[in-house]
Amino acid sequence: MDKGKIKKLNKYHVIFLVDKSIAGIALFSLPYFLRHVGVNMWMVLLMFGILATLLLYPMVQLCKKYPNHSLFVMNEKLLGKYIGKLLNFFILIYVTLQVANESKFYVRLVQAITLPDFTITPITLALFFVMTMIVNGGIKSIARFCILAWFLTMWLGYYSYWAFSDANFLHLVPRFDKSLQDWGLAFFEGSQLMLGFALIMFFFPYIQNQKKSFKHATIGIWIGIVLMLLISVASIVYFSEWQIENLLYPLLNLFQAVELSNVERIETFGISIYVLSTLAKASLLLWVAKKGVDALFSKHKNKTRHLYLMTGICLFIVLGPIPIRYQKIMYEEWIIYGGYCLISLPILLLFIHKIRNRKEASTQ
Amino acid sequence: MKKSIFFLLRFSFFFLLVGCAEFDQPSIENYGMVGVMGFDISEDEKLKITVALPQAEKNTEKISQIITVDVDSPHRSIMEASTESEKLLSTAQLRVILFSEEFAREVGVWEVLDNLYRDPRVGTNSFIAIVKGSVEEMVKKEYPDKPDINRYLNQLLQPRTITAFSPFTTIHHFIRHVTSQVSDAICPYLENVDGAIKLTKVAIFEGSKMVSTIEREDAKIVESIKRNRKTADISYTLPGDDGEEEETIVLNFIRSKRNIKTNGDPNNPEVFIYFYITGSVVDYTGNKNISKQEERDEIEKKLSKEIEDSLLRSLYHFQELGVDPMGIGDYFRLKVQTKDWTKEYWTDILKRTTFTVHVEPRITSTGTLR
Amino acid sequence: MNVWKWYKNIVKKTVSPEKQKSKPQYEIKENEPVTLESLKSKFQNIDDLIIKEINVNDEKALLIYLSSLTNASMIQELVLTPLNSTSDNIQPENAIKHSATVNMGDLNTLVYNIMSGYTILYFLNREFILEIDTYKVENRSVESAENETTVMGPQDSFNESLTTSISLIKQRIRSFNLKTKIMQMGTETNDDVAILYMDNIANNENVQRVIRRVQNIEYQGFVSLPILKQMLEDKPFSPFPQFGITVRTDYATEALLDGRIIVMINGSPEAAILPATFFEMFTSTEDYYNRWSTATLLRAIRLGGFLISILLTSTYISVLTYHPEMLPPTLLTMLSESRTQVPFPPLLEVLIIELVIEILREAGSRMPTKIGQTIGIVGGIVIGQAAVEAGLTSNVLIVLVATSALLSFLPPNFLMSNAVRLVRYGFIIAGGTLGMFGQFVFLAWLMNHLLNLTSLGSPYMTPFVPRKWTDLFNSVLRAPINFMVTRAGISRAKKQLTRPLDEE
Repeated sequence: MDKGKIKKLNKYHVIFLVDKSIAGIALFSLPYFLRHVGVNMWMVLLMFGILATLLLYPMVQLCKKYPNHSLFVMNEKLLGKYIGKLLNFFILIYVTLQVANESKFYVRLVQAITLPDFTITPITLALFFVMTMIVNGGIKSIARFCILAWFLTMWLGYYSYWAFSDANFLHLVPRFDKSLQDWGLAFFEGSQLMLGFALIMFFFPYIQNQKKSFKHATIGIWIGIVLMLLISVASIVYFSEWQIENLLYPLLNLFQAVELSNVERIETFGISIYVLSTLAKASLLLWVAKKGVDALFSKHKNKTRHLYLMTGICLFIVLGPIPIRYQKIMYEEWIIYGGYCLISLPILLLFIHKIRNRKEASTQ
Repeated sequence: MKKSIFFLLRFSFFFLLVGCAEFDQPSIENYGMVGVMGFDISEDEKLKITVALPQAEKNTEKISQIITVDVDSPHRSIMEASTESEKLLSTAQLRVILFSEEFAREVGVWEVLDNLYRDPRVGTNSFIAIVKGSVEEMVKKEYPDKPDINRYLNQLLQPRTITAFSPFTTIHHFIRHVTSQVSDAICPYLENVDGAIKLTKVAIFEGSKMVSTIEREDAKIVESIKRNRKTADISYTLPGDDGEEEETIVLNFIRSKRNIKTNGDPNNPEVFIYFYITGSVVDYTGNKNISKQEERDEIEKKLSKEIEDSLLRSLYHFQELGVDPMGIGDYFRLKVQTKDWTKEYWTDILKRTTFTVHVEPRITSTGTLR
Repeated sequence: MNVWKWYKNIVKKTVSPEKQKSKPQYEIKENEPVTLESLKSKFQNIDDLIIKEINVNDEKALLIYLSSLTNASMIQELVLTPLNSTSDNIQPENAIKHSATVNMGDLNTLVYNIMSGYTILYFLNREFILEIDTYKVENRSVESAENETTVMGPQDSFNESLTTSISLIKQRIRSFNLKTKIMQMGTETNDDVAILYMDNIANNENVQRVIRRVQNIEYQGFVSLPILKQMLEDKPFSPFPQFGITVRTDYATEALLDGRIIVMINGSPEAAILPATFFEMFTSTEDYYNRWSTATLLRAIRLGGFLISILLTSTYISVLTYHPEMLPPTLLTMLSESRTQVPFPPLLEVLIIELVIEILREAGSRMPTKIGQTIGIVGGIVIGQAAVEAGLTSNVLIVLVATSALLSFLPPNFLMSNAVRLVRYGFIIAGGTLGMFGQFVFLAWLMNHLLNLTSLGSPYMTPFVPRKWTDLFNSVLRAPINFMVTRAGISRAKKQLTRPLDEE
C-alpha cells in the first residue's frame, strides 16, 4: 500500500533512522576515541548532543525550504549546475568512504575477535551482500531495518550491569586535569561518532510529517546520546585511565565482564549481533551514495544498477590493495573533515538561499 | 522480482563457501584448551611455563595433560607445548594464571599479563594467584580426590562468600589496579598444605612486584573497605573481662558499609575511615548473655576495638610498604585537583598520612536462640 | 521477474510453437444455438450421459442428464413426479416450479449446466428446454479438523463441497453484509471460486484487489486451494506463506469478522485468509478460548520456539567450530567428551542428523498411521540411540536436534512450520561457514526479507511493526478479551471498533 507514495517515512522511521545514523560501529571504540579527556568523556558526549541539536536546526530549516528535494538537488539549484555537481561529487566520495569505513571497521573486528582463521574477504562479501539487499528495498526498507536493529541490539545494554556491579563510581566526578589541547583532540576524534546525523538532508523529502521532523530527529539524536553515555559511564567506572587510553575496543572488555552460568565470553555474541546495527548504518550510507550516483549520472532518476556499481566500489575500497598509510589518512582524517564540511554546508546554503530570495524580491 | 535472483544467489553463495571452507577446520575436539598457565623462574632468564589442559578422551589414566617448557614469552609457551601435544593448543579457555612467589617478587608479573591482556582470545576474567614454592610442583602434584587440576583451581578461585577475604583478582582487576594512579593490586596466595591447595593469604603488590602478604582476617576488612559487598563470616577472639577466659565470636551474613573522608591537604594529609558492619551471631563462647542489649553493647565495643586494631595494623603495614591496596588515593584525589598527580606523588603522601579509624559493629540477630 | 522471463523463453523454445498455433489452448468459446445435433456432438463419447425419451402430456420430450452427478431418486422426486401432475392447463414449466427455461442461443451455458449436474427436458417439437438442478453426489460429511485440532471450540470443519463450506460460515454469520462472490475459474475445470467478505467491515481496496487478482489468473484448473493461494501471493519466491490457510470454521469466521477476505474453491476443504501476518501463523483460535494469561504464555512459547528452533543447532556448530571460548568449563568437558568419537566435523554431523529427522518425518507422514508410529519408534529411539552408541554423533547433538525439530512443529500453520525447517538449514550452513557472524548475517537477511514482505500490500511483519498501537494487545500479549476492542491493523477495516467503548 506504500508503493507509489513518495512521502513514506513516519515519525518512528525518522527517529530510528537518525538514531542509527549516528554512532554505528564506532560505538565499540567510543571510549578510545574520547580517551584524551579520560574520565571526563561523558561531558564531551553531552556537548556533542547539544551541538548536534544546534546544527540540526539549519539543516531542517534548509530542507523545509525544498520539501521535495534532497541535498543533491538543492546543491544544483542553489550553487548552479557545475559547482553543484562538483559538490555532489565530493559528497559522493565522502559517503562512499563512510560506507567503506563502517564496513571495514566492523569486518576487521569480526575477523580479529571471532574468526581469526579467516581472511576478511568472505566476511566482507557476506556483509555487502545483505547490505545491497536492504538498500534494494529502498529507504523504507532501511528505516524498518533500523527499527529492528535498534530493538534487537538495545537489550545488550543490560549487560552493562556487570560492569556497574564492579565499578568505582568515584571516577565519575569531573576532573579538570586535562589541557585544552586534549579536549580539542577528543572533540576531533570523537566527532566521527556524531557526524552521521547530517544524512537527514538526504532522506528528508521522504518524510511524511516534515513540520515535526526537527523534533523527531532530535529525539533520535538523544536516544543515541543516552546509549553512548551508558557505554562511556560504564567504561569510566570499570576501567582505569590507562585502560581507557590503551584499549582499542573497550566495549569488548565490558562484554567480557559478563558472567553468565550457561555461556561465557559473550563478546563474540555481542559483535555478531552488532552486524544488525552496522548494516543499518552502512545501508543508509550506501543508499545515499547510490542517490549520489543517480544525481550525477542519471539526472536523479532511480537506477538500480547504480546500487551495484556503488557496492562494487565500496567492496574495492574495503578489500582492494590500498596501502595502509593511505587508508589511515582516508579513514581517520578525510572522513572527519568531510563530515565537518557536510554539517556546515546547510548554513552556507541557507545564506545563499536568503540572498537569492532577496535578489529576486528586489528585481521584481 | 530481482529479489528472486538474490534469493537463489544467497543459497548458492553459502553452498559455495562450504565448498571453499576446508573441512579440516578444527573443531572443539581438536583443540587443547589450556586452562591453567603457571609461571616459574628458570635459569638463563627465561620463563618456565607450565600449562595444563583437560583431556577429553575417556578411559585415560590422567584427566589433564601437563606440559612444562622454558621460553621467553607466554604465547611462545603455547607454540612450544604444541609440539608436545597432539592437540591444537589454544588460550581461549585460559582461566587461571599462577605465578610462583619467587617470580612475582623478583621478575614482576606485568610483562606477562600485558601480553595476555593483548590477546583477544584470552578472557579478561581469568584469575590470577600467587603460589608459594614452585608452580610446576603444585600443578603436577596429584590430588587424589580432585583429578582435574583445571577445574579444581578454577573453582577454588571462583568468588564465594566463604572465601570473600580473597580479592578474586582477574587479569582485568590486576591491570586496572596496577595502572591506576591511586591504588595497588592484591591477589590471592595459594599454599600447598597437606595434599590440598589452600587459599591462605593475600599477596600485596607494589607496581607489578609482590612485596608482602597479609593474613586472612585482616584481608577481610581490607576487602570490605575496598568495595561495598558481602563480606565473609568474620571470627574474632575478644579479650575476656578481668582475667576471664578469652571469648570467640563468629558473625555471619555480614553487611558492611564504609565511609572514607580525607582532608585533601598534601602537606598534612589525614584520612578518616568509618566502617559499619552488621551481622548475626552464630558462635559465641563467652559468658555474656547476648540477648541482653547492654551486654551485647559491651561485646560490640570489644569487637569494635579488635576490628579497629586489625584495620590499623593493615594500614600501617601498607604505609610502611608504601602501597595502597584499598584505593584510598581515589578519595584523596577528589580533593586535590592537580594536573601532575602520579603514583609517586600519592605514595609520598600516603607515607605521611595520619589515619583515624572508627568501626561500628552491630549484632542484629542472635539466630533462633534467645 | 528476470528468472521468470528467462524460464518463459526456454519453455517457449522447447514446447513447439506449431502445435500451439493449430490448436490455441485458450480459445474464446464460440457460442452456437442449441440443437439436438450440437448437443450430441458436444457429449460425444461421454457414456454416462443419459438421454431418455419420455412423454409429457402427450408431448415427446428428451430427459438428458449425467448419471454420475445425480441419482435416480433425485430425478424421480424433482422431475418425474411433478411431471405427472401436468395437464393441458398446467404446463411442465409450471409444474416443475424450480425449473428454468433455457436460452436456445446459449449452448455453452447449457453444456456447463449439464456438466454441473443439471437435468434438462428437451421438448423437441417446441424447441424448448427446461433445466432443473438435480445435482446430488456423495460428499464427505462434515467432520472435525484432523490437522488443526483444538481441545475447545467448534469441531466442524470445511469439506470438499463449496456449498457445504459456505453454509458452515453462513450458519455462523447471519447477516446480509456477508457477501459471497462466486467466479468460475480454470479453463478446463470450470470450478467455482468463492470470495467471502463482510461488506461493512472489510476494506474495499483489499476486496477489489482480491477480486482483480483472482480474475487475472488463467490456469487449467485448481486441484486444491493451496495452488490458487500461491498464485495470489505477493512474493511467490519467498519461503514464507503470506496468507493464512485453515479448514477450521471458527478461524475463518473470526477472520471474516476482523475484516479479512476468505477465498475458497470447490473441491478443496481449505479456506485462504487474506491478508494475514507473520504473527498469525503462530496463533490458533484456541488462544481466544484459553484464559488470556495462558494464551499469552503459549504464544510466547511458540514465538520463542521459532527463534530457538532456527538458531539452536546452528549455534552448536558455530560454537564448537569457531568459538570454543564461549563454553563454560562444565559444558566444555561434556561437549568435548561426547565429540571425541565423532568422525565428522560439526557441520556435517548436524546436517546428517537434521536430515535423518526430516526423513523420519517425511516417511512417517506418508505412511498409514499405524506404520507411521512404528517408523517413529524405530527412527527416533533405535537409530538415535545406536548412532550415539556407535559414536557417529554426540549425544548432546541428538538432544538439540530433537528439541529444535519439536519446536519447529509448534506453529499451528503447517506451511510456516515447513518454512521454519527450511530456514534452519540456511542458518546451519551460515553458522558452519562463518560462525556466529554468519548466523547473524543470515538473520539480518531473513529479517530484511520478512520486513519487505507484504500480504495483499500490507506489511507482513505486523504487529511486530505495529500498524496501530492497539495491535500490541493481540500480539505475543493476548490481552483479556475486554481489552480487545479494535480490529487488527493489517485488515485496515472500515470499522475500527468491534464494540462501543463507552458501554459498561
